[in-house]
Amino acid sequence: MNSIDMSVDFLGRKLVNPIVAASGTFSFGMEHSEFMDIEQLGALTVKGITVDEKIGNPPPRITETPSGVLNSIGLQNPGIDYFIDNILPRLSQYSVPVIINISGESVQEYCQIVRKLENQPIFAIELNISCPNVDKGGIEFGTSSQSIYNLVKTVRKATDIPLIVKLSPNVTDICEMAISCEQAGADAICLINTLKGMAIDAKTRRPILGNIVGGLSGPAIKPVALRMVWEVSRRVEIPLIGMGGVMDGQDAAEFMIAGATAVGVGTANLVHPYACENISLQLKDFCRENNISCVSSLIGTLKY
Amino acid sequence: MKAIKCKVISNEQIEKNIYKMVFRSDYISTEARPGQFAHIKLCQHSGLLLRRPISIASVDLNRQSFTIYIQIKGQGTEILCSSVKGDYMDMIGPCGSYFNVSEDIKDIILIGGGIGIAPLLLAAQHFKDRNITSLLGYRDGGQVFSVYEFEKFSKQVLISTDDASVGYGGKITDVLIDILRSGKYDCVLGCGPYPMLKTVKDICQQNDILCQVSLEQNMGCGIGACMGCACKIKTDGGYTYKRVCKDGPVFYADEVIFDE
Repeated sequence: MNSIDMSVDFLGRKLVNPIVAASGTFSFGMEHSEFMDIEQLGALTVKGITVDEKIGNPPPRITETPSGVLNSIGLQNPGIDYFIDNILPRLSQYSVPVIINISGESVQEYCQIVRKLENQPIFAIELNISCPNVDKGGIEFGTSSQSIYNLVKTVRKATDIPLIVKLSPNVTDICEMAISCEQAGADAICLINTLKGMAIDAKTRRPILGNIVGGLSGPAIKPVALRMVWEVSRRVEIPLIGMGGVMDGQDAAEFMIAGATAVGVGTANLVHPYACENISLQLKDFCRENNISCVSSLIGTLKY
Repeated sequence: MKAIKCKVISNEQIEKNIYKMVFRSDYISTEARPGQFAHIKLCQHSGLLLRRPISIASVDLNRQSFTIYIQIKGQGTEILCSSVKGDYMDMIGPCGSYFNVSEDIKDIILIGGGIGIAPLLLAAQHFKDRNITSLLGYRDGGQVFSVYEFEKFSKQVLISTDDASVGYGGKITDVLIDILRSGKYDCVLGCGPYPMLKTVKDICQQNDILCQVSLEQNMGCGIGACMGCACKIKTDGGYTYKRVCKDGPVFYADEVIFDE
């Protein structure tokens, strides 16, 4: 098979491939652009932005656990105004669709950021309601279906920019959260964010992370992520970005089979600065080897 | 900074838990500046994902090779040390900032503790035309490494061990106090554990001498993207967190807040 169509339709746009750089692991793209062509990404999600600058959590902020990475960065970022004035103009020189991941401590803060993004050259906004590493906001919005509904509904009224909601896996019923997003007018759902976890040094009896607890990512969480993507895909109509421990092309294929339209790559960006490019090439190889002419034909095809 | 695969030319255990590895790389041997590191991937199937930042300790431009020293501290460093001649290792480098010493600075003190001595060797090699005084602190006689290499590039080398088995018995920072009392020096370059570096910073401030330190921290991507390797840096009104991998690992000691 000579040509394989790697594009996917997502939020009214044709992405060159389904691979999306995940928030927080790719900064604003500039570091990774030294190692790969960022225009080869399906989309690029920037590091989480807040209203004001945040300096983040005390170190150590990252540690390794079996087949996983535990982090407690704490949304370190320069704030929305600095981002719009100094970072977005550079980023928008590339043709890659840019997704802006935002976090707030209140519904008003989310709306404040969204209004500032109006008329900016962006593809979509991703509401981060699932960061496990900040005291206020973040995950506390994402663990109650009522607060998710209220937040998404209010932000929806404030903008016509496509809205993606990034869900936390730290809930009893992920489908309940996803349905609330859909009912409130979200255009897509991204799942999953990190699982809350911790690591302890038994000799010193101290937590390894400065923040004591953090978010677990990497291959260790892939089975949880696949399960959640599959469950949610059966309950909502809106498209999904599936993610959690995607390290190679086959992992990406698994997420699409489970029901994801696009596939987020996070931890792998910390391991290989060219991971997204590799994974997209491997996904293409997977298609070639399995006589698949359009990668989009994988979406939601789990046989059971 | 590039992502490259480097061939292991040699790997030998030189002291208890310390290995010396030499790699072939025209690019890193030419580009590396003292204080910079290589961010090295462990073998594919270890289940350990993150790379390990290892200081570049010396370069050989003729052989197009560079040397690192690794102390086994856990499973990851143990896997790194198990590599054998002929293996190819996946690394990113050279990464980070470096010891930046202007031309007019002639009398340099290098002070290192434990495995933190390694990056100072490249500083000694790089600044060999200046007057180098190397102060090397080791835990015990079984951990003493690369002294003869420092002797090649230094005017004098002073050693301390905590157990007094070799050299001065006690802390290497006591040796720093002594030699600053007796001589004239322009700057101090340090690398080692945080408590040692904090003492070095305090001594240099008391003596009004310029000091740069190279920091260590748990690291994620190593290229400045993930914000995983934070260190606390003074600002006008308070402090902020900077990236050890990209803004550092070398900082002016005056800017670093050593409380975490």
